[in-house]
Amino acid sequence: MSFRSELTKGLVRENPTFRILLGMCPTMATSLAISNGIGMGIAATFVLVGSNVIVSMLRNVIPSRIRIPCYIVVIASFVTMVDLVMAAFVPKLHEVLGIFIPLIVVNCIILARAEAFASKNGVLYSLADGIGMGLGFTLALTGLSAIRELLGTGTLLAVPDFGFPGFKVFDRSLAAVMVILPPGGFITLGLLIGLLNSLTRRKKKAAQA
Amino acid sequence: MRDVLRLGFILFAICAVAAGALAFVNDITEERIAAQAAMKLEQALESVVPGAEEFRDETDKVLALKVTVSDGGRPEFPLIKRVYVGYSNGEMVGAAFCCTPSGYGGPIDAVVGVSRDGVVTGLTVVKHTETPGLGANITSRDFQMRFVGLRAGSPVKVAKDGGQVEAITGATISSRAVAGAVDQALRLFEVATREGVW
Repeated sequence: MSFRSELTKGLVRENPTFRILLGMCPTMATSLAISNGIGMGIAATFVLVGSNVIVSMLRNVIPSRIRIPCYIVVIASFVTMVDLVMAAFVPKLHEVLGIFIPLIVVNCIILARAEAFASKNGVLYSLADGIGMGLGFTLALTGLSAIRELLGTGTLLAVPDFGFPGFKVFDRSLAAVMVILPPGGFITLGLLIGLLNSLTRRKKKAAQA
Repeated sequence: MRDVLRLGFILFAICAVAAGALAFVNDITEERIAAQAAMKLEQALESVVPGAEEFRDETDKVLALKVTVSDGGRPEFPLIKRVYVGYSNGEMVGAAFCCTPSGYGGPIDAVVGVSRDGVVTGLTVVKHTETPGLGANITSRDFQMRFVGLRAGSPVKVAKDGGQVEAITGATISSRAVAGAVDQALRLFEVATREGVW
């Protein structure tokens, strides 16, 4: 176990979205446009790092029998504080990321990392785990939303909050609206997981040969 | 038994610390958030009623009407929370209705502007918790412009309900909520005009 391997495992090896299949609800809901994917990813990473560090610090204080309610109190308080501080001091950013914040509370990646990692490991490793998992989630969301935005709307990188319409790749009338609706999201996710699995399998085989 | 008390005490202590921390954060942010909300409202009012130089809060006067026109005192305009009337050189140019319809993810704070002759001049969404990428598109100008130019007289509905406004794909509930707010704003405007409020 090293700081570096804890940091990088979330990117591909133990990617929360593609490998552990956690946090499907916010994944489906926010992977509609690249700007949304990145926004949700950043907000979730921030909360994940904070909650991992706090849970790790409290791991010897919290009795194991009541650990889940304790983690939920810690996470919910942290999310609320982030929400209030952002609304007060960076209102523009809050306007853009604010809608993701209530979704973070139901993001089980955060509870899962608290339970599976932060409650058993030191603060430094938990910090690395939080950053890595958060970045992995951001990466997965960005990839998924790039495909869905392109096929579903025909544009890329639209940021409606700033009034930026995005780069038009093909006409909207040719876009498959189903891709931005939940069924299309699950199909895209399934295909991406399959692709990633076949790539790693091939790599493993090459390593064995 | 002792164990239960011990666990209960620890949980209580954690909750108490969390509550304290939240109270502290709320204390230092409350004022700034309120100031920003006021600023945002001001901007919203100016954007939906073009040409107005001054806004007066005439909620009490306008909403008092609903009791006299509704049957049995049932509130006829439950979505409308505040009414600001825009003036220019002492002349009434339009009214802004702050509405709170229920969307898909919670209440939506929308402001609907109606000009003196009963035409929707603007619509803006101040706050909402709709799904990003779907319902959240109610903040887009493209969607809001679909309401501008509608007149009092016929009910405002989304196309799916037999109305005139095209809903956002995949976000009928959010679109319907906004349409309902515009509908009530126009109807209240009509009543207030008939009763000679302005």
